[in-house]
Formats: sequence, structure tokens, C-alpha cells
Amino acid sequence: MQTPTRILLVEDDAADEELTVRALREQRLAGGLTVARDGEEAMRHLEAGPVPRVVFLDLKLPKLDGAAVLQRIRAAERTRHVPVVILTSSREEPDIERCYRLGANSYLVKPVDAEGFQRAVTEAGLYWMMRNHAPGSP
Amino acid sequence: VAAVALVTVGIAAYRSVLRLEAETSARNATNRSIAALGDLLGQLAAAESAKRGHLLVPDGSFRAAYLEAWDQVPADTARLRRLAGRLPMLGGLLDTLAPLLAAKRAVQDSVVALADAGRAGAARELVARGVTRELMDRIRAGVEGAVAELQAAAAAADRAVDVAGRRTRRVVAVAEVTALAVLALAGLAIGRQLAARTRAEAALRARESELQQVIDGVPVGIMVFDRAGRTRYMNRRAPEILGGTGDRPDLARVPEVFQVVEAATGRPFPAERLPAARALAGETCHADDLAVCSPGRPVPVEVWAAPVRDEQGRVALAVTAFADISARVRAEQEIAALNAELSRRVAELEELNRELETFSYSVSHDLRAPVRAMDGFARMVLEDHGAALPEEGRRRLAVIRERSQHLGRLIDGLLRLSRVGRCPLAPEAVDMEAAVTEALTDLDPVDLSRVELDRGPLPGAPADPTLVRQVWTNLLANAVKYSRPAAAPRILIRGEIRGAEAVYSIADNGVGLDPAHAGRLFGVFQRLHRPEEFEGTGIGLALVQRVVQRHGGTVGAEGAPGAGARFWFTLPLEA
Repeated sequence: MQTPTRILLVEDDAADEELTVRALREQRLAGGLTVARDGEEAMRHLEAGPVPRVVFLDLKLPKLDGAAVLQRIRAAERTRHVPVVILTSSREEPDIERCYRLGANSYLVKPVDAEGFQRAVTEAGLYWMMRNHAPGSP
Repeated sequence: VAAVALVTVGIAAYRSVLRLEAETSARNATNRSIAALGDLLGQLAAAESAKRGHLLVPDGSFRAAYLEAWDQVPADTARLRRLAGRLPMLGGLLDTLAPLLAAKRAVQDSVVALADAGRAGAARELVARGVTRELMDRIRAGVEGAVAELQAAAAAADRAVDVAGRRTRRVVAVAEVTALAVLALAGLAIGRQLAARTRAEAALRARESELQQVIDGVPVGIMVFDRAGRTRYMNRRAPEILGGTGDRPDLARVPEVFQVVEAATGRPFPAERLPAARALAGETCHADDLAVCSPGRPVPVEVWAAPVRDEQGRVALAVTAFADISARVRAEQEIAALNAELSRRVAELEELNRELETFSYSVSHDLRAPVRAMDGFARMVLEDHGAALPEEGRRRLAVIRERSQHLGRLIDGLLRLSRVGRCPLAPEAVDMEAAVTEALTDLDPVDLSRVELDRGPLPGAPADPTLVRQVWTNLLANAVKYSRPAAAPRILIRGEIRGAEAVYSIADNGVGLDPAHAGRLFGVFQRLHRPEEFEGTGIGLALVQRVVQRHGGTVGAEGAPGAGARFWFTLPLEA
């Protein structure tokens, strides 16, 4: 059986992508991981592909930025309840407020140091994949 | 008073003269009475002589004289009777004399008749009986008594006339003196009045000159217009303000020489709205939107105008006062220009702020990602290939990781600092003791466990709770960090109200600081120690200062090398 998309990672920075994927893989969470490198690509996956269990969303993205993607996720019936974790470098208050207003479930500022980053990604992945009961999940 | 005096004196003089006349006329009556009485005695003596003659020579030659003498007697008594109206005593005398005269005539007539009848002897006998002599004596005694009385009266009258004369002369003299005095007084009074009038005129001239100087001296132009709108007067300042040479122009030419325009547009000012016109209509008014065009450029003026009314309350004149407000207008223009400049600068500053925000956002996003990659990928190399690397290779990778992490902390510190400068303050009453307790949870518990904390009571203050907690965290972390070398690290936390602000301090017994560098402590990236001694970004104290300054407080540090350091900050109690 094909592993369904469980995590959609929207990230344009290749290095961050690699670090994130590595952190998730270490926790055996990378199975069914899909990576989108800009907002439009993310939307294609969300509209055409299976609904992910969780979306890790960077804010600063080419073409369609993270906030717009979040807005569309919440606007579409099939993705309305998908947990969205904002994973960004921005500590800016307006961004944080705006994301929560648009319906983000979590807002994580990527730590600069490697251990901190790994911990943040791991904890978020574990929480949303293991602990959280989404509607329709077993 | 002069008139009363004159009239009184005149009346006195007139009465005095009347009295003199009366006295004089009484004196005349007395004289005439004495003469009449003398005449009467004369007539009686003549009759006596004629009777004796007739007795001696009865040929009738004396008869005529005898009769003639007696004929005169009634005339004399009649004279005396008339005078008795003035001299009443004559009336009594005449009444006494009348029977005596009648008896004497009867006896003498009898003697004469006897002599005529040739009976001389009987006649002589009758005479010898002395009847007539006795009668005569009584008559003479009465008359002489009356004469003596009259003469005494006459003497008295003379004296009276004399007295009256003297009094009259005196009265007249007094009258003359009085008249002279009155004249002198009148002259004096007139002189005095003239002097007073002269003085009053001089005072009036002095006052007029004073007023003129005052009106000329005030720093506003003053012009007075009559009902026809003609210029009646202008003070010295007026033509100066109006842009003339300072000479007062021919008043009739004022409307041609000085034209009033609207300050804003330069168009002729509507005649009916001119302050002088409004004042002539009875209005007290003020205007500063006009300018006066003399031969030069328009001078902006501020004008006050008021009607001047006559005694009937009708508007007779309009007085206008005006000041040159060029300086004010210029100042206002300058202020407007400055304000515009300020607005522009504020806009620029806001734009700069926005740029800074954008910049810090991109720093946040764009710088952190590469640094994270450096650290992350170095770590991956160490994890995946560490075993294959020589010791020195692993050490160098570790240096890359350490320095990139430090760079990350610097970037994060800078971002926090910039956020503190930009984020809006949300002040509330902060419980400082609770804030310190919370801040202590931010610190490394291992480091903290080595330190003896001495916490005094702390007054509350209005502040942004998140930011003030950051201040405590940074200062406490500092104190913990720099007291690490001490044998028994001790940190004193104190607070008090001093005047209108709360003062807080954190003192440690650590490495201390050089007072010469205390001022540099709060600068960004300023560090007094090498990183090998104490880790740090050089941003913590800069952040403390930024937060405290944004609250209107001040920060400071004091200490000596090896003797610990004391940091303090203040917060105003009235936000």
C-alpha cells in the first residue's frame, strides 16, 4: 500500500529542507513526507493530492507566500481542519498575530542552532503526528 | 459783596446828607423864631415909646407911631405861629403871650384915650399904677425865656449840624474808600482770573504736548477719520508703518497714497469692510487680514478701530490703531515652513522606520537561515562523518558550529533590540517582586543555585511587564555571570521610592568593573571582557538601557575592579 501523504513541508530553502527532513526522519516521521518549494506547488498538492495530516509551512515563499497558502487552506472545505504549523525565521509580532488570525495551529520560530532546530521540528512532528487527534484520524 | 458794600455805603451817605439837611433847616427855623421874637419885643417897645410920647405931647403926632407899632404885633405873632409848626414850644409861648398882649394893649389904649380926653392926670395915674409895666415885664420874661431856650436849641442844632456834617463827610469818605477798595479788589480778582486762565492755558498746552508725545510715542500707528471718511489726524508712527518716509503726508492725499489691499490676495480691500468704515458705522472691530500699499510693497497690518461719539452719542469720528505685523507674518510663515519641514521629516522618519522594520525582518529571515545551515550542516558532518575525521578536523568543525551559534545569538539579540525600540509600550502596574521571581526562572538554575540571593522589598511601578521582566532577566543574568568567580557569590536586590520615581538596583560581589568604562557598558556590542572569560553578545545591557529609556527612566552602573558591580535603573511613577 502506497504511503499516503502524512506531512506536507512547504519550504523554499534547500538547507532548511534538508535539516527538517533529517530531523523528521530520525523520528521515523518522514514516511509519506511531501515537500513543496513554493506556495503554488503547495496548493497543487493540497488541491489535487491526498489531505495531509499536518502542514509545516514557511512564511516567506516564492510566488504565493505562506500566509496566502494558509488562507486558502482554511478557505477550502477539504483542508479546513488540517493542522498548520508555521515554521519560520520571522519573530515579527505582526506575522505571528496574522498567522493565528488566519487559523494557524502553531507558530514556531526556527532556532539558529542545530540542536535547537532539530528539537523544535521533532517536537512539532511528534505532537501533531502522534499526540494530536485530528478529525477522521484513527 | 462789592455791590452790597457799595449800595450800603451809598445808602448811608444819602441818609447822612438828608439828616444834615434836616438839621440845617431846623437851625434856620430857630433863627427866624429868635428874629421874630426880637421884632415882637421891638414893636412892643416902640408902642411903649409912642404911648409915652403921646402922653407928653397929646397932639396926635405920636398916635400914628403907636398904632403902627401895635399893627405890626399880629404880623409878628402870625410869623411865630407859623414857625410853631417846626418849634412846638413857640405854640405854648404864644398861648401865654396872647392874653398878656391883649391886656397890655387894652391898658395902653386906655392911657392913650385918657390922654386924648385931656385927662392927662388920670392917664399918668393909670401909668403910675404900673399895670402895663408889669404886663411888659411878664411879656419880656416870657419872650426872653423863649429866646434863651431857642438860642440854646440853636447852639445844640449848630452842634448837631456840625456832627451831621462831620458824619456825612465821614460816611462819604468811607463810601469813597469802600468804592476804591471794591475797585481794587475787583481789579485784583480780574488779575487773578487772568493769571489763572494763563496758567490753565499753559497746563492745557503742556498736557496737549504730553498727549501728542504719548500718541506719537506708541508703537502703533493711529489715524482718525471724520464722518466723511476724510483723514483728520495721524500720529508720527502711522506714516512710518504705512511705508512712507516718516513725514506726515497731506492728510487729504492719504487715500491716494496708501491703498488697502487684502493681505492674502493683494486685491483692493472692500471699502465697506475697512475697519475705519465699520467704526464709522458704530462697530468696534479688529482685522489682521489686510495690508497697506504705500509706494513700496504691501505691509501687512493688524488694525483695531472704534467709533468716537459726540455728546449726543452720535458717531463723530473713527479712531484706528494699527501695527505692522510683517515680523509676525514672517514668523508665522517660518513656523508653517518649519512645520511642513517637520511633517516631511516625520514622514521620512516613518519611512525609515518602515525600512528598518523591513530590514530587520529580512535580517531575521535571510541571515538566520544561512547561519542555521552552517551550524546544522557542520553538525551533520560531525554526526555522519565524525569518526572518519582526524581530531583536528572535528575541532575545526566544532569552532564553525560555536561561532555560527554565536552569530545566531548576535542576530537574535539585535532583532530583540530593534523590536524593543519599535514595539508599542503596554504599561501597567507591575509587581516588581513577582517580576524578579519570574525573571529568575529564565536563568540557568545550576548557576543560580550557587548564588546567595538577598532580596529586599521592591516598590511597584507602571511599566510594560514583558519588557521590564527582560530588564530583570538581563541584569540578573549579568550579575550571576560576573559573580561566578567569587568564592561565595552574593546578589543584592534592592528597591525604593525616591521622589517621583522608583529606583531598583542589583549588586554583586563579582569581578566588578572599571568605572572608566562604565559609560560604555550600555552600548551595543560593547564588552569589557574577552569571550574566553565571559560569554555574551554585548547586547543585554543595551537592551536594558533601551527598555528603561523608553519608559522615561535612566540606567547606571558603578563599581571597581574586583569589588563587585552595582547596576541600577529608575522608572517614573507617573507614566
